[in-house]
Amino acid sequence: MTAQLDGLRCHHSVLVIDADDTLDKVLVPVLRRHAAGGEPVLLVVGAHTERVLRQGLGDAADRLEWGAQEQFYRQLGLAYSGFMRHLREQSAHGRRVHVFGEPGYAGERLTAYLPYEAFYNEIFPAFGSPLTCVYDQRTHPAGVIEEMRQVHSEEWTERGCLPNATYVPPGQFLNDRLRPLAPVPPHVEVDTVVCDLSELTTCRTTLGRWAAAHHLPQATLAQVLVAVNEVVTNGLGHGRTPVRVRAWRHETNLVVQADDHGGRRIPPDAGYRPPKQPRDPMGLWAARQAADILATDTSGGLTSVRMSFPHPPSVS
Amino acid sequence: MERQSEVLGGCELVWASAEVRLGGEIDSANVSLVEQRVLPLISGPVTVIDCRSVTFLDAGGVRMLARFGAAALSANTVVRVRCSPWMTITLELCGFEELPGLVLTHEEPS
Repeated sequence: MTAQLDGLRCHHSVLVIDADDTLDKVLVPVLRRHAAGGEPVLLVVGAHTERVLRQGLGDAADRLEWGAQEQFYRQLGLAYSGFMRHLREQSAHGRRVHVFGEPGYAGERLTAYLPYEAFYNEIFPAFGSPLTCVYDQRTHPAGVIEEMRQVHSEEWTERGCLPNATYVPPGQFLNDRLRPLAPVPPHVEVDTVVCDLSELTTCRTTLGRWAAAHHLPQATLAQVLVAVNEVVTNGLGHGRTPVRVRAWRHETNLVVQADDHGGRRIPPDAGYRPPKQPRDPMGLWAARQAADILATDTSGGLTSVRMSFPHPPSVS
Repeated sequence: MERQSEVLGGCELVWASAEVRLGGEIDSANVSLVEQRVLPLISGPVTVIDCRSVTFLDAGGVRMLARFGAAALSANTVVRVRCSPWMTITLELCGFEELPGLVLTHEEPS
């Protein structure tokens, strides 16, 4: 028999919306209990979900904190670290907050967000605040929803928050879903090589001109250069030269790929754990934060890292 | 102390008593050299490291700043670092908005 957990004893749970009344039946009663008990709640959900919840909650909705979905979820890595920072601050003040998040991602961005969801299980329990993620199975492919269940240790149902039988630990989840990168297009806008550290400046200048030609705002351009610089530096330090850097535009993204000739496998979990102190490895962490999507692949004697930056930024 | 300067790869270092100015780019190609030159300049009750003209800093540069902070703590001195917007971006991406031993101030982007 499966034990029912109350909201504040859950760690990282998912609520899969499968009908118009799921929110009313499952989430509204939980939020009412939190509001009645004066328990802090932060909701970062889409406009439709907020409207349904506010309707169901009535005046109680005003006793809950509502965050801006487009702000919290503007980039994948920044969403992850943003929630982490928020809950760390709450924990430092001795507060436990039940966070309800509804990422507005779809398609490639949603599948690229799954590893972050997996790592919430490992990183977030230390803060003592539960995180419940809301996904609507009517708007996402069934396979993605099944994977979403694998990365949440609990699931909300009408019977409460239950341990999730299909849960897979983050390391295993990442190992199981290693995929080769899609081919680089035959025509790219930048194609250059970096043979030693003294050429990093030239590489940044080349990419900076390319990104500026695409009218990226200064802050986003800086993110492109930080991410690429860290990945190329890693390639020079841990792989084999030369490091080939190619860049192109793909639909609403600017994409940069760095290939070194080391052919070593980058551990699938690299860059998902925040550095605790500056001497910890942090190049790939910083690159994952700066890029929206970062994927790695090792094949044909090459170690490849592909980074994708939204263009225009913050478009999902 | 007389004002002195030195170019370290893409980074220019200018220093006089209790004030150090860094400008240009700091990455893995020159970070060790910059650190080696600046560390001995951390002395006296307060040292100001003016980095408002730094136009690039990588994760290795964040480690360098952390070592400046460690040096300040062990010498029991105050080190104020005036960060350029570029530095702030890298510090934030690395998750180190604060570093022990350093008083960081952040310039607004122009």
